[in-house]
Amino acid sequence: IPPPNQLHGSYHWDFERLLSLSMVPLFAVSAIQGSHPITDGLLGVVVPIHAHMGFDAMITDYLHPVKVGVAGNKAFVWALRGATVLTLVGCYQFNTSDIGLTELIKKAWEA
Amino acid sequence: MAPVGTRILSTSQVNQKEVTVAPLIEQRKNRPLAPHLTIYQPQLTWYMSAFHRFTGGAVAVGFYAGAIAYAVGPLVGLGFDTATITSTLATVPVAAKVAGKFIVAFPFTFHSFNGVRHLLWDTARGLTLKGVYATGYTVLGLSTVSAVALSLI
Repeated sequence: IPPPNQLHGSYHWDFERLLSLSMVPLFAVSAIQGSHPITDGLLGVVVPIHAHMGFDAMITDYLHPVKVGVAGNKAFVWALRGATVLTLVGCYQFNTSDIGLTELIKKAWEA
Repeated sequence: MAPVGTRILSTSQVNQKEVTVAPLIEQRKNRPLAPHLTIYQPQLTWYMSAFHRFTGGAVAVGFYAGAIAYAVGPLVGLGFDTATITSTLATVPVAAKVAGKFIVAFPFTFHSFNGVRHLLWDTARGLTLKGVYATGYTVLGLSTVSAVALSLI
């Protein structure tokens, strides 16, 4: 029996659901309050992680080793990790040196 | 008569995997796949489940593309910042803007409301046929109405 890994199984499930649940008040507050450094910062972290887990599930379902080979699957997983890191960096840059995520949505929507 | 000590047959080292497994893989690549999505009776359950994944992927791809373009833009000379985005969007005709906003808003609202529906199921609520269909139609209604409302702002 392999030793239990905290990242597998129900811990991952719990984390995924807690993250999704946290997005409800986060989006509500951002929509009502407008831009604020804390909510923008949280959005720039929570949304990429949520998207990453969704994409990871899609890779597991559709780009599995039997279909694309062990190397292919690993390549996709690491490509996703790279993309998520870039996204996190982009969000951080945008929140710090530009107007922030909520403000961008607002401005773009009213343009 | 053959000279003593000569081999009649010759042998060579064989990679077992190459000889036994590789041809099978090549055969599998050429076989057709049995119909699945095309023959299953259209139902709200799996249509909404598929749409939930599809909308999630769509919104996430947009988000990733935007964030990565912003992060990498300066390095490749791609002018991607708030000023360029808003000024480009201002030049789009009104009808296209409303339609575009609906196309962007609906996946987001559907995925959000359906996400709440999923979280409801995770608390073991509404896991009946009636519950699934009732919440399903509610999500469809709510997401359409909110998307229309958002696209008219």
